[in-house]
Amino acid sequence: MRCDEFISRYDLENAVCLDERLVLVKAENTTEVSEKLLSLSPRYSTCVGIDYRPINRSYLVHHVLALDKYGLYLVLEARAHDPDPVVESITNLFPAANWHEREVMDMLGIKFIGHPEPYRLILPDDWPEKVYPLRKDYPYDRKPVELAEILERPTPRNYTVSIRRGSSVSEAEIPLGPYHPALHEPEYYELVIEGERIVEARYRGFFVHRGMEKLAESRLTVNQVAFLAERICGICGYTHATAYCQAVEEAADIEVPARAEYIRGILLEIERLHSHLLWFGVAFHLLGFDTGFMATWRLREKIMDLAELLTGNRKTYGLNLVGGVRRDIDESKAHAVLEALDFIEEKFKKLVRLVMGMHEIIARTKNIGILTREDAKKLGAVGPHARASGLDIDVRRDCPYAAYKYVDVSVPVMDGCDVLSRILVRFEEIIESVRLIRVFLREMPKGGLMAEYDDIPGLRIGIGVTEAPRGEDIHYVVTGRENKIYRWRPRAPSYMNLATVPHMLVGEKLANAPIIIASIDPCFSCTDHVVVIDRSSRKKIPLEKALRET
Amino acid sequence: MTLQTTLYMCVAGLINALALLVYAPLLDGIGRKIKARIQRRKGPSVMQTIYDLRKLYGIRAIVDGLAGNYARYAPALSMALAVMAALMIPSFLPSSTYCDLIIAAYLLIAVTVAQTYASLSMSIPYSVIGGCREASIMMASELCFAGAIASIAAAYGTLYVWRASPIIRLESLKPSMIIAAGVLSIVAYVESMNLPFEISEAEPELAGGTMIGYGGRSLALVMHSAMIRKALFISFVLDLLFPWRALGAGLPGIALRIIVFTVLLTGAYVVMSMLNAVYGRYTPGQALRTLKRVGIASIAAVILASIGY
Amino acid sequence: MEIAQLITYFLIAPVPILLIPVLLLWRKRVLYIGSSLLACISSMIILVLGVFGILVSKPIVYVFPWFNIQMSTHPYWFYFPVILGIDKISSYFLIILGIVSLTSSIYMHGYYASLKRKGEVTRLVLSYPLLILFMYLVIIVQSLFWFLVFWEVMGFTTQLLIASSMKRGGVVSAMKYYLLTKGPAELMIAGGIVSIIISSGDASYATVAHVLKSLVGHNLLATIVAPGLFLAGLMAKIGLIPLHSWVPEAYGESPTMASSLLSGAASKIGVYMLFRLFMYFLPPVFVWGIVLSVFGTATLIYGTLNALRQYDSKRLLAYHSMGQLGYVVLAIGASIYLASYQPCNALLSTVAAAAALYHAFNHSLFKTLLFMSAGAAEYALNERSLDLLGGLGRMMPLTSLVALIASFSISGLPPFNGFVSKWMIYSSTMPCSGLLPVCGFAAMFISSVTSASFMKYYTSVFGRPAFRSPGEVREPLSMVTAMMILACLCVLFGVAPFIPLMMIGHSLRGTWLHQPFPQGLVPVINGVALNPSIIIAAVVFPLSGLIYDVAIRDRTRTVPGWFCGAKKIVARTMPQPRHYFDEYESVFSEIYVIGDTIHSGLIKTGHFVKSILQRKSFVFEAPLFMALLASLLILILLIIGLLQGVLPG
Repeated sequence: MRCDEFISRYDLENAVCLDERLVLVKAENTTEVSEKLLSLSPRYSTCVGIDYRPINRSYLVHHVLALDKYGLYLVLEARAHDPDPVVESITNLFPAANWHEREVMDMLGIKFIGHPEPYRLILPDDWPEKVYPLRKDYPYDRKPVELAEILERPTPRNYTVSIRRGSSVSEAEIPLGPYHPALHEPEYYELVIEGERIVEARYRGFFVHRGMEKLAESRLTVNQVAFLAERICGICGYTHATAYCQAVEEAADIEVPARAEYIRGILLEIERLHSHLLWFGVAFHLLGFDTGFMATWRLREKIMDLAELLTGNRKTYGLNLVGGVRRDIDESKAHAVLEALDFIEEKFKKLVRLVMGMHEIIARTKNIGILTREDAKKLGAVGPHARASGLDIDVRRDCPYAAYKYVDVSVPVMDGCDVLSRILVRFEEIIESVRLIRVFLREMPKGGLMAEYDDIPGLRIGIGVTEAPRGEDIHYVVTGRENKIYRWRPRAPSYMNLATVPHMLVGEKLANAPIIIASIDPCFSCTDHVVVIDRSSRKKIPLEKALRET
Repeated sequence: MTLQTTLYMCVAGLINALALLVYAPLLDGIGRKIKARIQRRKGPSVMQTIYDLRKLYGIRAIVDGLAGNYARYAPALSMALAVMAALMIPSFLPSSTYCDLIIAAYLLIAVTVAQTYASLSMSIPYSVIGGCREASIMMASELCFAGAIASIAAAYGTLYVWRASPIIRLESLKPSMIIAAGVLSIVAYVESMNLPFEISEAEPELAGGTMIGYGGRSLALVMHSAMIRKALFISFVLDLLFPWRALGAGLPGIALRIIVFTVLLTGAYVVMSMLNAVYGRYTPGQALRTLKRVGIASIAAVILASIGY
Repeated sequence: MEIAQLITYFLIAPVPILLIPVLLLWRKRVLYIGSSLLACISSMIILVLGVFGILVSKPIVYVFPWFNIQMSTHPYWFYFPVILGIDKISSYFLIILGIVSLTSSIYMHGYYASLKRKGEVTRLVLSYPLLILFMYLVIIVQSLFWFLVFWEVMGFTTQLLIASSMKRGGVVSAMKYYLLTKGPAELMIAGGIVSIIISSGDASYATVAHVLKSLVGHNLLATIVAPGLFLAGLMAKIGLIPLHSWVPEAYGESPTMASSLLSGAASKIGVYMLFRLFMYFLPPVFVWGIVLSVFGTATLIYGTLNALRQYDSKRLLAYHSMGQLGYVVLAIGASIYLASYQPCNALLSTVAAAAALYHAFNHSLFKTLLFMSAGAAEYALNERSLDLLGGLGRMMPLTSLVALIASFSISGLPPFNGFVSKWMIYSSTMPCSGLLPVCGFAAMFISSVTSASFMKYYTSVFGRPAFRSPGEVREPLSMVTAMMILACLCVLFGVAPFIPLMMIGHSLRGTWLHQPFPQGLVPVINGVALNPSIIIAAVVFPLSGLIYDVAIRDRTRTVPGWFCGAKKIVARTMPQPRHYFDEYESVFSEIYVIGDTIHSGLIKTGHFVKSILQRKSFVFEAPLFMALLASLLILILLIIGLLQGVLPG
């Protein structure tokens, strides 16, 4: 549905069309407006806090809600004034807003009244109070405390999502993380166990938060941010780059040529293939089936080779710029891709048949890690995780972008709500991806790769949404003057999905915990948001130094 | 029992123990190599486990500081028990005529029991979780093991290994002995840390296992004693299943026995590692349920054997 | 040994104990040391008496000139002199009693310090010697009538000792279970004894044995009814299923002195009488072989599997006590079975009987030791729940060493004593046909459950790091001495089993077993064999010590535990012992369900009976009820006995 149609049909006050698919609703009383919006059953997507003080001496809080049925995004604006900015919290109406509001509280110091768990989320425990990194008066390269002090203070209990279901006299809290062989990235789960059963689970993350948003605002040009966005994640980087570029293109009304859109589509699907195959390998490893792990990753190598053929890199393709792509796909490359896809599809189907016949794998995934449809909806789960719990959402179909505008995407939905369903959904998606790549290659039109455009106008809002392998990936951009970005907020899909993990863990057996955590395909780098490691000395060096030296 | 036979038994036992000390890690290496080949990778070299042990033996012993005093002593105890079992249980050479089913079983059990006491004493929660799982699996597999032993004893009226072996005799085939042979093989497979039952050491299932609180020499002792125990379990089952007396007596008989035994032992490891490559891992609950079913079969074997079948 | 000397010993044995209450007049120090010393002296006399008794070839009997009872009922009249004596069977149990009471008495000295109130001390000082006295009397009496009298008084003093330092609620619940199981059992044993006396015409053991041997087989009363009733009474005392409910309450809730003495000695009195009844009075009867084996197996399964669920240290030990006595009864049953069913192996029958006696002794040793260690832990940390204990390994190194030895012994690990007696049980039950291999299989399975359970016990109390910081922890010298004596015996009996087996061999000559026990050796089926236990000990201890010395000691680096990078307080992360075996319990729930239904069935029966009586508007007053039931039963039996005399046969 188009934006103006929507506003007129639902009679929204103070609503403005920012773009075809983007509605901005200004609200004096956020709670009231949110209650009205509840009738549209929106899905909470993200929340952005912006320090607008240089412009109009206030802070803005933009809640982004997705209306999948209409293919629209709705931005709910709340304004807060300097000093002591205060806004009403909508977590009671949209439980998924919990983390987002806390992040804004942490980074910008905007207080949300009525928030049930107003604890720290992102900033480390020793970060001083009342120092808010994302405010415009905070320089991006300042470190407030010395490292030695960090190690002295004890760890306070500021956890996210604590779900309690009975406890006994002497609790045994097992630390799973931040460094554990079963986890592939640093994350901290505190599991309270009774024997083999988990009775309570608490999660704390954001160990690899890297301050990318601040960096993008301060030092980088618009196109440089595209490359930074690619480095948010080691598996799904291209999706982030695409989402960012789309956000800027939407804000600046740049129309990307069709061929570039198709190329973006092809590479997005290739990334999905390699990400899902990686996930299968990890899942098999966690189920003890190492042979499957090896086999899956061997198959994935073919896809990495394809990526290298097409872009020059196995990952971090570096292909996107605002307005188009940098490289083309010619006949011989397309031919090579099609051949490889035939091989991959056949081998993959064989592997699936083998695995489905292994009763111990089925027994370990069926009815394990249940996330009910209601919980998934309430917490705002996205991607294959949500589709396995019966929610029929997919950005490629609901709010099409890039080459998906020209094709029909079939979206697999299961209602098992368990780990097995998530496996099956990803199986189907792989098959679908292969089909889509073939379609794209066949129908790719001739044309240019890059759009022509003048300077990007400042202070325009744009939202770029893609369906990453893990779910809806949304980048919110406010363009700035002089080829810079005023505000950039990438929200990775795992941000929403991680909130569901404690719900799934409680009541399950301890031995199933790693596979349950892995079943949402968590990508902590995405969630936390470049750490550069000097290979010779293996020390971390700040990005600026690296950029200066290269 | 003359002095000569006693002396022979001591020497034979010693040779068995020394051979197993070296051969058990080698067998582990062979297993790793085969598993790697099935997964179409190169895998570590066959001597890799021996190299690992050598490295670990060269490093100072490390133990969890908060664990009780017993945890420090346990690796020595379990190694001593493993060596004792190797002295008693006939493997390469037919060492003891008085080795009976119960002593062999208890010595093999004692190695893990001594070590599990230590793993439950650590301050690391994963070690305790691994120890609990190990103890539960031990209880369930002992159900099957006890059933197999009782049925063998009831069928042949003796507890001696050399008299009960082979338990499957073509001239007087007993259904209870067929079941017992199956149960024994499964128990040996389970107790040898094979997938799908490799539970107490499994990090992906959030156990640290019984070895996580050790490093250096202590870890080497624990690993080494576990390998020796695994080889001995298989030897014990082979002793019972294969008709060793058919190989004859005297020097050619002994030489033949050594060759046949080595081949069978290595073959058993090869088969186990192939099965390892094919299976995933059970959760503790699933493993216990499977063992319960095997336990019911072993109870059936006991009942059948005691009424004459 | 001259009779006169022995008699003086008989008389002297109780005297030091009887002097103990006199000491209450003095100060605390004199009381503590004095009572401990006097009890030790008595115990040593009992021990020596036992040792001499074994070596004597014929039973020595002395008829006490006082306290005779004469009853004349036309045309019979009964004359019940007090006959005291020692024969081979009773002397073995005198040794057990002697060792247990000796170590308890030494322990008692350190135990006094933990008693808070003067009242508790007084009650302990009054009841402890009484119990030992009556246990002693029960063993040396040679007349069934006086056995009954002393047995009932012993039961009463047991309850007295149990209640001596319990709070009111504990006393009430202990009495409740007592009435449910032991109450009726005492009546049944009375009934059984009365009928036996009537059948044989006299109460002295020698006469009874002689007469019963001829009566068994033709006379239903003598073969089934009387031993059945007797057995019911003994079952309650030993704690066999289904009359076991009082054991966890009594052993679990009572103070350490009481529980160690009870499980170490009092339960063995029940075993003693069981042994005597079936191995001396009665010839081997096939039915009893089956009954005893079945009950023994059921008890060992039920007791040990339920012990897995316990998270209170004393209750856990109480359930294990019940289980291990199941082993003993199984062995006795196996002996009878083997002797009566097939002359499959008279040797195996002897071995089974020897295993029973040996296991009874070993059980006394390690169970007393375990209760003492639990008591030491309770004394140090004032805590009994396994979840909240921990860290005593470092604080009380000697206590934890002996607890470890006891845990290994009860689990049956070679080369400790539990292994040898269990091995004998397996050797005598497994290679047979019929019922026994199943029992042997159950015994071996349950021995692995015992090992797992003691992993939990030992590591929760001693092995793992401290849950709560204990502060100042003391290991009183007397407690440690008592425990070390028992631990040394455990190791000694494991390494050199021929020592106790020699005693057992002598003692078995007093039964109907034909085949004498092979002198001093652990039996094997054919021919002669070296005792592997010595070899195992000779290799394992030095080898492990050597490895430890060379590789580990003084060369160990200790590192704090790794909590994956999170900062954790250790106590918060320790998994709770009460949940260690939850998974196992849920998977094997079928076995538990059977045991639980039996247990709840019994409770329901008790309630049902009570409700019936209440509906009939009987006032359910325990003593009245008991008296009515007692008189009813005795009347019935008197009638049967009289009829029996009238009818031919």
